[in-house]
Amino acid sequence: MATPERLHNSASAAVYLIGALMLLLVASAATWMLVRDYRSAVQNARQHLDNYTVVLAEHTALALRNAPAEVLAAIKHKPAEASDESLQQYMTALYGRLELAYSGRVLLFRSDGTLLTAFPRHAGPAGRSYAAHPLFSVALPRAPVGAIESAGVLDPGDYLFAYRTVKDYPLVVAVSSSMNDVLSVWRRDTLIVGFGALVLAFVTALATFLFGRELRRTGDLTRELSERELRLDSIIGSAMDAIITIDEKQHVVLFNAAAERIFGCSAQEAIGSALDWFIPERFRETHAQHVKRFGESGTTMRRMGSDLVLAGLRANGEEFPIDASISHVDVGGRKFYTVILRDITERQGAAAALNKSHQELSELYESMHQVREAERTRIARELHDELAQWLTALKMDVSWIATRLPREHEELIGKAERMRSVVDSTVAAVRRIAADLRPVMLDDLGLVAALESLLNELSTRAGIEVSLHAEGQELELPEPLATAVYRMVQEALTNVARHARATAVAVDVAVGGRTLHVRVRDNGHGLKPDPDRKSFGLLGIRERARTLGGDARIYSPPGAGTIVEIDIPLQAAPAERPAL
Amino acid sequence: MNVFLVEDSPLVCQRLVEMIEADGAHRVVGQAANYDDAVGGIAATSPDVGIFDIKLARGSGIDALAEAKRRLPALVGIVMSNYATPQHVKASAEAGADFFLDKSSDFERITEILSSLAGGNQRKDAP
Repeated sequence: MATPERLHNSASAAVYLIGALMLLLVASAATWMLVRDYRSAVQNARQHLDNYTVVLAEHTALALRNAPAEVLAAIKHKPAEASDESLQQYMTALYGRLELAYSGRVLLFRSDGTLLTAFPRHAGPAGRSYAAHPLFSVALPRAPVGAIESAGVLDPGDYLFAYRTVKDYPLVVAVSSSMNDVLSVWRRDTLIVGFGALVLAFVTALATFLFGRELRRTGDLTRELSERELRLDSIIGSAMDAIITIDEKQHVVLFNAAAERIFGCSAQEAIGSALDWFIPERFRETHAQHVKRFGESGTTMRRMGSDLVLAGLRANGEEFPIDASISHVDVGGRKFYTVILRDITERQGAAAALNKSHQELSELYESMHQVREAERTRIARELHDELAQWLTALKMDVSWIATRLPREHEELIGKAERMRSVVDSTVAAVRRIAADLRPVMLDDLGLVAALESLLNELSTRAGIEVSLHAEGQELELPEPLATAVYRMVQEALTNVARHARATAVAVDVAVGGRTLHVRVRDNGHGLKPDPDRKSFGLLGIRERARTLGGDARIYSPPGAGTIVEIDIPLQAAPAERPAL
Repeated sequence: MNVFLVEDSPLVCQRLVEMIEADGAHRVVGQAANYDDAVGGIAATSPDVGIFDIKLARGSGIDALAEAKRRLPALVGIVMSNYATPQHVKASAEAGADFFLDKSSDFERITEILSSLAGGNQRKDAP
């Protein structure tokens, strides 16, 4: 498989190879140029020197024809043990006249290798034999005319010699030129070419290195990118939520597995199609506008439809509720929106079931209250209206007997008195029990009187300073509202007496608009945030207020005791439930 | 004194009648066990004194007192009840009661009150 990573690896290898080849090319070209130039430099110098030897050989032969005898003798004299001054002078004069425009040296040898003279003149010993010099040992035996590179004759270093035998004389004339001179131009060129080649090679190497590194880096980035893409793909693919990306024309560009499952539509079908496919028709217009507005807004992410229920449309035409969030991003000037959503059909069902269950519990709770209240009322009434009446009648009879007993029956009179006091105690007990069961006063005198009584009792029992502020004549509340309010206040006061360590409590009851406001405020130490100890009493207040369609808030402002605030809508109070 | 009894317990009612009429100075001119009979009966008999129980079979004695007082302002109202809380006392006073008696402990004061009323000494006993 030609992964991008491999592609980049082979590309960078190719770049290095090309770089190396270019370096080789530069080196070969430079070498080739230098060798060529070297050869042509030497060749040119040879040609030059050879031309000189032609002229020199001719002039030497010519000059010798008219030469004085001692010069000729010197030529033949052998071996030349001392420098023959006349020959030297003669020849120097001749060569001087020739205006040899050459930097080298002219050498005149006898055929046996003896140096006769040199021009320009040299202080070294003329007459020495150079038979061993390559000029004589190698070159001359091969050809009478030629050239050779060799060590210098009079001077140190390498020299180029061109030589030629002199016609009719046993002489060899040679012209030498220092290789340094011959190659000076070539050396300068070599330096330039070499430097140029070096620069070129360096630049090539550098470019190759940089390009290669860049490629490698791109390769690394590509690999990292593809890894990340893989990771992202697996995340998107395995997400439980549907993930859908659309472009600015609201066409689907990404559709993950969860989306396929939820919408019942394959990614293949979905990609490229309009998002409208997945939105119930009645929402399409507003949805498109929302998305557009969202794209133009500064925010890049938000929860969708936080105040309304969103709906999706399955491929089979079924609508379902969704919970969705949207984000947008600009890629290369194009806007993309990503929606993450989940099917909340089940959740909504569960929430509804929970609500219903809670509702039923509430109703049961309230109904239990009412049943209990009815029971208590009945018993309290029985106690008060039956038992207490009988006791009263009994007491009246005892009194009647007592007043009619003869004075002398002191014992009987005492007994009658004791009976009266027993009846009194019994009446008191009956009243107390009845009052504890149910504030009958609530039915006879209404809520305010009942609350007043409740507060008075609290004040007497717990020594707490109490105050009641009740507004309006409208406090003639219907049942079961009056009882519920009474019980809630009673619960709040019980809480005050038990836990608040308060020294004062104030109860306010007022009707504002169509709402009944009840407030119980103490000056105790406030609610303790103790999650382990649930106050069922306070929970009960809240639950009861909710059942009545209202709300209860229980809180402790710092340093201000505890406040219980109850709001009950007067219209929404549920009608009396049918008796169970 | 002509007395009208508003009381729904026959047991108590019977004994009260006995007690009131015992010395022959006072007379029970009518009885009622509920609000309507009470208001109607008082209007019909115009008694001097009305004795009201609070808890009636139908309606409240306090309401009956208020209504009877409205129709017969000269009526002396005595509330006598087993519900003897300060709230009941207050409610009775607001309805125009002249006396408030705890039924099981103060009933004997009725003859005393009636006698003092009959003696022309219309001193209003504080309840």
